[in-house]
Order: sequence, then structure tokens, then C-alpha cells
Amino acid sequence: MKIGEVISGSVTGGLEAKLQLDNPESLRIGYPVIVEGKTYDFYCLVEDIVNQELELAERLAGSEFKDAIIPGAGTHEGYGGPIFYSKAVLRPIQLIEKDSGDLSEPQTIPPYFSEARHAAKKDVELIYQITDTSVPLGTIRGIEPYFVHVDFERLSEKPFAIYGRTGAGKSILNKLICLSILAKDVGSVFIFDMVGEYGIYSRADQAKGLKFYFPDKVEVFSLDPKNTEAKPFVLDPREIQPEDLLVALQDLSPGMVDTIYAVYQRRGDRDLVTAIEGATVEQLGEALVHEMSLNALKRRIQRIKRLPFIREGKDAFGQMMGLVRQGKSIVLDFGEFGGDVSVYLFVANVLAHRLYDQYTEKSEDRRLIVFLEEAHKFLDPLVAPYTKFAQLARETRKFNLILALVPVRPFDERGVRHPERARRSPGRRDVGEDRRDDPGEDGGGDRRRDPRPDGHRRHEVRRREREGAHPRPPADDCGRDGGRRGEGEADFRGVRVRLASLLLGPPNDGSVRRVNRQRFEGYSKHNDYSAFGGGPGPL
Amino acid sequence: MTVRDELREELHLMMQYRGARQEPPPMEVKAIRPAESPADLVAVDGSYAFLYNLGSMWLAVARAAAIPYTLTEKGFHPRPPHIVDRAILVWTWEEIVSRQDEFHQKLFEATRGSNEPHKEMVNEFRKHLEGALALQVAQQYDSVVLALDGSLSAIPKELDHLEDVVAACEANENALVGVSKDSFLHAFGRSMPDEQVLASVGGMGYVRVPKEFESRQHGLLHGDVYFARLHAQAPKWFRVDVGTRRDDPDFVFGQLAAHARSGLSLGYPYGLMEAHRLAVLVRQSREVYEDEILKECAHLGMPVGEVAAGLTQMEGRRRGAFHEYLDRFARDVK
Repeated sequence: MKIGEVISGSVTGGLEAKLQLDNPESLRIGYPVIVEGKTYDFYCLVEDIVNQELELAERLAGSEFKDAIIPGAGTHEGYGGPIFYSKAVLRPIQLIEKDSGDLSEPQTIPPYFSEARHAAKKDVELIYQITDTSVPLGTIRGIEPYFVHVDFERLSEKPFAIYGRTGAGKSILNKLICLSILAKDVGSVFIFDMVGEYGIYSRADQAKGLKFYFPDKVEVFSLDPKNTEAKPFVLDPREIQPEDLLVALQDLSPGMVDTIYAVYQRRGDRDLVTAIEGATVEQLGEALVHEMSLNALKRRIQRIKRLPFIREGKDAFGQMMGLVRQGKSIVLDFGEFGGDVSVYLFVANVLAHRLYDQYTEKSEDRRLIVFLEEAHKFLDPLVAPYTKFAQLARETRKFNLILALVPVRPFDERGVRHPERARRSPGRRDVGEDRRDDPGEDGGGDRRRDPRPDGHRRHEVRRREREGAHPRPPADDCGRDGGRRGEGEADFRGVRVRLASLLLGPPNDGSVRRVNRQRFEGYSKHNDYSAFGGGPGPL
Repeated sequence: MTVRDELREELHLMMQYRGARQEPPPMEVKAIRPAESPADLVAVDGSYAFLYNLGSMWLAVARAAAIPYTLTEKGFHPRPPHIVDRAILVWTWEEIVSRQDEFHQKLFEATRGSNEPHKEMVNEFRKHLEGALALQVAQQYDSVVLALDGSLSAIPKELDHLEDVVAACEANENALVGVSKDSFLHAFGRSMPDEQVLASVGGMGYVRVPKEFESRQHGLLHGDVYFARLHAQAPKWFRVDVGTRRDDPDFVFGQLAAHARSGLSLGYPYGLMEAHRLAVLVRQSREVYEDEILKECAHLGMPVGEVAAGLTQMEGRRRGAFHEYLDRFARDVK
């Protein structure tokens, strides 16, 4: 059924269609739509539905006309369709060549007035084709019940991302993707499990996890000593790099940042944390380090020092890589540290460094897909230059290391910055530590927070980088906005990541988790992972 | 005497004339009952746009548009419109006009003495197109309301089709009306225009102008002249000329009032609004036509600069004319 015609568009910005529907409520975000060009059918998803601002509508709203035909859905048609019409923003996903049926990336746009219609099942079947490595992942809105087949061999060839607002079901979808990867054995997965979602059972709702379905293919490591069922995760402090501290301790002043690099260059064979604890201004030189900065840094470093899993011992990373080589997947459970963002950032970054080195320096045959939950936390402009994930996303595909991002959408449909991101600022203290004893942060004065705007501080950090106060990250890692882009786009420190074409719905209330769990149980039951070698675990 | 003094004096004069005749005009306002099952309404309107000027020659394009509307409980639903687009070249230099065909000579004669004859000629051409389209519609449809934009006066008579339109409407039992958007008539003999005189009359109704006015227009006017407020909350009265079904104005205004119930245009037939929108599209298409002109002139060997210099503004003025510079200068220099 025709729903409208294309009135504007660009390859990068998507298409805009003037709707010819009596009622815009009959269209929803995520509905598949076919735009019929001359050479191609453009398979699109509805990204937004808009009633444009009209002065006329504003004037008429609230009027009380007697015996009049008030403009409304379908009451006033003009030569060009309804007078008051809605528009749909369409995101082209694939091109279907009309003659051959061949699929290609959307690298062109249809002519003006191309007809947009609801996609039919036969259209969708062309897009989500069944292959040896595909698994039905869910249904798609706006079409008769149809299970979307995703080819996981192809999906895991390049970095990808799953976007959605909090409560939209990202973790559930992510779990289904992980299970499908394991079921089709297209690689191993490595998951930073902040909330205990992926082990045997979900800590939140007891939904079955990866280890439940694939007990022999999944190994769980835990940062939390209380989790005795998992292998202990031990992080050798010698693995800690300056950037790991910058990522974890986001409230560092420029003076403290300089101090970290100064200590790092003079640490000898000590680990960085120990070196900072023992550092003095006399050793480092007054020209490089200010005493107040050093003292403030020492206080902050205690947050890292106190983490029980940082100790010398059996190298967990080595064990993990050994298991991956055996075809196993890794779930890294954060246990009680799951709520501590700085610990998450810190551990994920340290492991990212090691994964990067491992896969780029020693070729690994087994494809590893690293799932980074809460990825938006790494996109903060102040954090992004110091994380290793951009390089992972950009450089490691050819080394069989694939990054999968699971961020909360940075902007909602109205273009409003997501509050979780908006709250983040250089002075924000993510770590649940008592900070009462914290005097000035920049080596002087009693300033508790740097009152300068973010841009100023960022500029200052960059300036110091340029002056050689500490090694500068690769040029193309800097100068970007840390990944903030418009709705539906993602830019991970300059690397465009391929978007998973699955839009997650907006509901976010108490019932969402229950519903998501039901969906998950439904799909996982439908998929019958036992047929692929998975099955209930020992519990 | 200063300018201020003069202003005050003139204002005093205006107020005196405004209240020159205070007694209420002799008028009989009749109630309108909107038709419950209204007939279809076909609305006709036209527009034009100047494109190119070379010496005393002006090239323009005109459009006449007719759009049929069916009114149901759900609202206003159009059927495919009829559109006639025509280009025309007019000369304002008599010597050349005398060598043109009869039609162009008629246009010239009809507008002789005008300050801006090129505008008048193209406007007459636009009316001619509208009339031709109205005639076509009147012959094609039956038992509809045929609503034309403007009065049913034929000036100049030679270029008009109104007589034929009336005949066709009578043959096909169409109700022919002409609705004027704005009227400055003084048919009721007041110093204020009739529209303003009637503004104080509330409610919904129609009133016929005094016979003396119509008799003065004899031979040019093809109908009876009324003023009507087609909806109780309409912002104004409109002049409505009734060309057929003249013996049953209740019927005609009942039909018209039904089509004037849109919240977008209370008291004005919605179909006429849409016909107007469709007609003025020709002005928005100027760039397309200008592209054609540039290409064709290039084929004909005209220098681009000369061609570009001839492109005109909406009302036929050259884009680079000196007055345009003066206007901009006056606007920009504080």
C-alpha cells in the first residue's frame, strides 16, 4: 500500500517522504518501507514520523467553529494530497536492483516523488536471506509475522553496534546475538558483563545466560572474590598504562595528568600504581610536577589500589586467551563492581590494550567478538582519546578481533541529549568513594571542581599534549567530538561503525524487563540452541 | 503649512466623508440554509508570471486551473484538476502590434492608455484562459456549482467567454457563481465600501445590491450581484455574482455555503482556495521556465549576459532595472 512520496533525501541523511495517510498513527518507527526508484527498490526503515510546525495549524488549534469542517485527518484534500500531512524520515538499509534482485549498500537516492509503500513479506525476505550461518533473531514491525534472519558470519566480519534507550532490550538482543554466534560457531565472544546478565542466569531476573545454553563453550571469570563458581580474575598491576588511569579516574586535573606521565617515564621496573604511591616532587622535578597535584593524584590512586583483583598472580588474561584458542567464549563478570563505572572503564581498557597487542602482534586464528556494554561511557569526549577501543574498532578487523558496541543512544528521538551522557562532565565523580578529604585538584587552592567549561579543559589537556607533557594519542584519535553524532549515527573516535539495522523500541517502564525476558525466552525457545550443541547447563 | 498640518486636515476630511450618510442602507438580508447534500463544486482560478523582457516585448506564462470538489461527511475531496498553461508574448509598441494577429491587437486595444500596459495585457490573457477553461468545465459537468474567481463582468467583452459559459451552465443545469475575494463596490451608495458597510451585520445571509447598480453594468454583467456571509463566523462578506439559477438564490447560496464550511476558510468556498493555490504554482515554476529561456536563447546565439539581463521580476520589471538598485539602496542605507 502506498504511504507517500519522496520529497527530499541524501545518501548520508536518509530520505523524507510526504505521507498520504489519513492518520499518521498507522505508521510506526521501525516499520519497513520500500521506496520505488527507477532502477532500485530502496529498502528503508522508518526512523521518524513528523508533523511539521505550521503557522496555520497553530492559529486554528483551539478554535471553536460551529457547523464547520475542522481540519483533521483526511478532511481537507488538496491537489497534492491532504492539506495537513505528516512526513516520515526513512533510513535506507539496502538497495534491491529491480532487474536482478541483487542487493547493495545504499549509495544513491531515488528521484523526487518516488513512491513509498509498506514493505511486503517478499521484500523483507530478499533482505534477510536464510544462509548456513543465519539465525532468526526476532520479528520485524509493520509486517505479517516474519522472523528476521541475520547472517552471523557476515555480521561478525566487521564492528557493529546495537543502539537503544535504557530498557529497550539491548542486553536481551545482545544475548540473542551472542547465543547465535555460539550456535553457529562463527567465533568466540568476550563479554564485559557489568550487571551479571550473561553467565548462567541473569542476576536481575534469572533469565538464562550464555553459560546455561552452552556450558561447554563458555567460561565465566569474575572480578568479585565472592563469586566462587567463576574463575577468579586477576589483573597484574604491571599491565596498567597511564591511559587506563585517565579513563578510570575521569576527574583528574591537567596537572595530575602531567604527573601520571612524568611518573610513568621514571617508574623503572615498578608498576605504575606503586610508582605513583612512592613518587616525590624531588624525584620528578619541580619543573614537571606540582606537589599538590602529586598529593591529589596519590589520593585518587587509592581507588585503584583498593581493588582486590589487582594483584600479582596467575595471569587471567593468559588463561582467557588459552580458552579462546580452544574455541571457548569468555564472560567477565564484574560482580559487586558492576555498579562502579570507573572500574568497568578501567578493566575494559586494560584488557582492550592486551587484546589489541595480542591480535595485532601474534596472529590469532579464532575470531573473537568483543562485546562492550555501556559503550557510550567510552564515547565521552574526555575519555575517548585515551581508550583503546577506537583502534580496536578501526584496525583489528583484519586480525580477527571484532568490536561490538552496545551503547545507550546518545540522543533520543527528539534530538535531546541523553541524560546519562549529559550528566557526565570532567568534574563528575563516578567512583562511589568518599571524597570529603579532597582539597584542590590542580595543585593549589581549595577549588573542589574546575569551574571552567568542558571545552576549555579539553583544550588545555590537548595543549599540554602538544607541548609534550605526555605522549599524545594518535592524531586521528583526537580532535573529534568523541563520537557524538546525530540520531541514528555513531562515530567511535572517527571510526564509523556499522549499525545493526535493528531498532529497539522506546518503552521504558517497570514492565519492560519482564516483557524482554518473555521475548528472550520465546526466541531462545524458538531457536532451540540445543540443536546446535547448546543445552541446559548443570544447574 | 507643515506636512503634519496637512495630514491632520486630510484626516478630518476622511472622517467627514466616512459619516456622510448615516441612515441604514435599504437592504433585505436573507437567511442561508446550507445544503444538506451539496452538489459538487468546480472552482476555477488563474494566475500569470512574467519571465522575460526585451525592449518593448514581454514574455509571460499564464495558467488557468479548475478543480472539482466533492463534499462528504468526511470532508473535501478533490478529483483530478484541469490545468491550462500557456505562454504569451506581448508588445507595447503599437507599430509592431499592428503587424500582429487579431487576438494580440484586441489585447492591446483593451489595455490602451494603461500605465503598465504589459501587465494589463497579460492579465487580460489570463482572464481569457480562465474563461475558456470555465466554458470547457461548464460543458463537461452537469448539476454542479461552477465557482469562478472574481465577478461575472466581461471587460473587455471581445476577449471574454462569459456569455457562452452562462449558456453552457444553463444547458447543463449548473449553478454559476463568481466570488470576489475583495470588493470595493459602493453599490449601496455609502462612502464606505459595501463590504465594510455590511461588516456590522452579523449572522449568515445574503443581500442583493440595489437594482440601479446592476442596471449601470448592463451589457457587461452576466448575473445578479449579491453580498453574502456564507458562514456565521466568517470574517467578512463576499461579493457573489449569480449567473444561473437566478430565480432561486436560496438554492445557490445554500450550495455555496455548504462548500464554505472549512475551518481553513470559513465563509469562502474551499474549492476556490485550492484552485487559487493550484493557479499560483505557475509563479513558483518561474525558475524552470527561466532555465528554458536561457537554453533556448543560447541556441539562438544570444550572449548569456544579455539574456540574463532580460529576466524579469514577478510584475515584469527587469531584474537589473535601476529602480531595483534604488530600492535596495533605500532599504540598506540607514
